[in-house]
Amino acid sequence: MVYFYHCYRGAHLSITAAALHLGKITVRSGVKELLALQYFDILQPEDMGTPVLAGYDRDNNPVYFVGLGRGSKIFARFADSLVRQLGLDIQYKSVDCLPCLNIFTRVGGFLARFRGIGVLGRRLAAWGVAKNLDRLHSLVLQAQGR
Amino acid sequence: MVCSVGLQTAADTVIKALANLMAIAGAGGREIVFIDTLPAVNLWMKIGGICSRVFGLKAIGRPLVVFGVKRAFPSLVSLVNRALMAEQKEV
Repeated sequence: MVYFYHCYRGAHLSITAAALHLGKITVRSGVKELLALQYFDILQPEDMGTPVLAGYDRDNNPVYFVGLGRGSKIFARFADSLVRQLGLDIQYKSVDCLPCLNIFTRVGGFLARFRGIGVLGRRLAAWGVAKNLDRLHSLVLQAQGR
Repeated sequence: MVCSVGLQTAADTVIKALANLMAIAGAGGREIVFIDTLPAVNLWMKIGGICSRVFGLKAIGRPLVVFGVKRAFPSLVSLVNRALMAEQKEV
């Protein structure tokens, strides 16, 4: 099974969901742990559509995260429909993390792009993600079928 | 098999991600060719689409879209021909 976590830029929510899936952080993790994640706030708009391998879970399933811009909401439907129509035998789970986006992550993600206030933006984005960590964790558990 | 799908303005990103997913998950050797038809869209179609879908003025929007599609028809034909020629070259 291939796990695909996706959000707008792939820089905050999906990377955090992938880290939760892999057990690199827990639902009680804070801003510090989120900022310490290797790919937190790294992917840029030009990286959209390119999945990044976050690692392999306990069952040796690859876990990817990817930014899909405005396509995050339609990707899962498109992929499921295409796989069904073509009768492809592939095992994957695509998880849209955008429902966990809040105003802090949105504003923080925007500010993080600018020099001078980048650090502030990153912290604000991380704080926003940390506030919604339990919701992200629910998404991950749902994807894992637990 | 020929399918058509609407992908809003995120076609490039979604197609790139899907092609990557197929490659990662192993699509069983099935070749999927994605053809972006957005370059054939003209101003008439855009205005008609906005009138019909955004403002709900279907009586004005739909004829405008039809007019636009008629004007874009040669571009669409060459788009399809190019896709078919590319497929034949690969075979």
